[in-house]
Amino acid sequence: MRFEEFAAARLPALLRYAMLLSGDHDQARDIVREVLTRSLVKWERIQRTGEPYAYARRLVTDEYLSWRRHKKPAAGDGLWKLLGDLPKRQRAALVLRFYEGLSDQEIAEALGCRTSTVRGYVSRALTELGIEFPAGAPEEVLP
Amino acid sequence: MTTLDDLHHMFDAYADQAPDGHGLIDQAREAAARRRIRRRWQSWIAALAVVAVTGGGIAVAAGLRHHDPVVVPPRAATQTTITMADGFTPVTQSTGRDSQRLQWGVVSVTVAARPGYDTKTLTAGERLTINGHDAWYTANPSEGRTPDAVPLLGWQLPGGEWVSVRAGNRADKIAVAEQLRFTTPRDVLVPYRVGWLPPQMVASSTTVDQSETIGVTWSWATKPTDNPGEDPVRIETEPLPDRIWSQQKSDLYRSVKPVGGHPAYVRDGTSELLVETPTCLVTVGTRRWGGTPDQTVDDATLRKVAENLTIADCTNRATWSPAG
Repeated sequence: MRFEEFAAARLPALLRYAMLLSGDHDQARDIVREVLTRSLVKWERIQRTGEPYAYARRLVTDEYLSWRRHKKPAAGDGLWKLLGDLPKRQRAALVLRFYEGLSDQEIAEALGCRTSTVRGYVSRALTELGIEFPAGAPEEVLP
Repeated sequence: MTTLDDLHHMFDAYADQAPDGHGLIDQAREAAARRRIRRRWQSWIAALAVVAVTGGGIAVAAGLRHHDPVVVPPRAATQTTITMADGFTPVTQSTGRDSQRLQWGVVSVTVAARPGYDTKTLTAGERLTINGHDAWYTANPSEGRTPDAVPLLGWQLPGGEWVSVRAGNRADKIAVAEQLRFTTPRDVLVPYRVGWLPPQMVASSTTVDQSETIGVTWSWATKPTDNPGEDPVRIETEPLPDRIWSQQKSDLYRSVKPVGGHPAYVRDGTSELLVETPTCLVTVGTRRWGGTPDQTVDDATLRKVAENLTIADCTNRATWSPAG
């Protein structure tokens, strides 16, 4: 698959994911622009993995976590605002879990941590948002 | 009470407010080109510093500034005679036994003695002047047997080879053609020296891409292939550190016995051995697709090739050697 084909097919999904992570239009565009640039330069290697979207999503996550720009104050309704106040890694874990539908293992790989840490992030994030922690492990409540 | 359903609804609602991607791909492409140019300049500055001290390599530097079409055969498979004007960096550039290729944007350039179309049809087309010499443009060069031949801009070099510029619109082709420069044959440089290869093996192609990944393939002297992807030995290098490799190393590859004191890795299901130095990732592999036993080499041979490489600094061209 050529880079242009991949980008055309997956750009909307990457932007939606970046929007939920950053909570900001401009930052979402900046993050995805940077990820596309890096992907373009290394396209052959990324393509060789057979899962270019998973790698691009991981690059988006890395870019968001390493973003040095000051976080803008969270706007929007109550839940969205609470999400904006979460620590970055907790927010990323929550979006990967309940929007992207990844397993704890996949999130652990994306965030470079252990699965027990992922469960901790998700649990604390849900508590901060006032969402009752569902019975059973988060793995059992995949969307 | 807030529920997980509320969370899902909120995610869906705000994801719908994501910005559109208008212009992002073009912006990324431009940014990637700027990075390539920046990296290339950094490498050249390092190389020229060494040239200034040693007095060597002046002919190469002078060749790059030579704007007149001077192509003097013979050219080895690992040598090039094409470059582009300052500020233009090809997306990929490759050399083989019989031809050279270069791509800039969507436009591709081929230089070959046998261009694969009827040159009389080309020279019956519209005459143009490119950098002071004659060139021709035709909408139908009767390439091969395909009825839907693509428009072509082309001309013949003094050495007899034909330059063929394809893809993009007419203005794209002319713009790229005007930025081409032709020099005497120059070695493609690689950040390693080969110490051992199976007997009767000769370098047959090189590829340099925008990420500064450099590939060289070797084939049997007695059984040359027409496609570098079918050559039995391939060595690729790319500069480190690289974030993507850092991730892939743990996800896709497993560690094996070190090579020359450097960490080495393989990926199950592939015939590749990867060697990691502080500045280089070196991949030694065999042909990627199919092939009979005499068209591939085994893992022990790949390891022996890797163990006999002298790997230089991928980030410093002054330490590099001619490919082949």
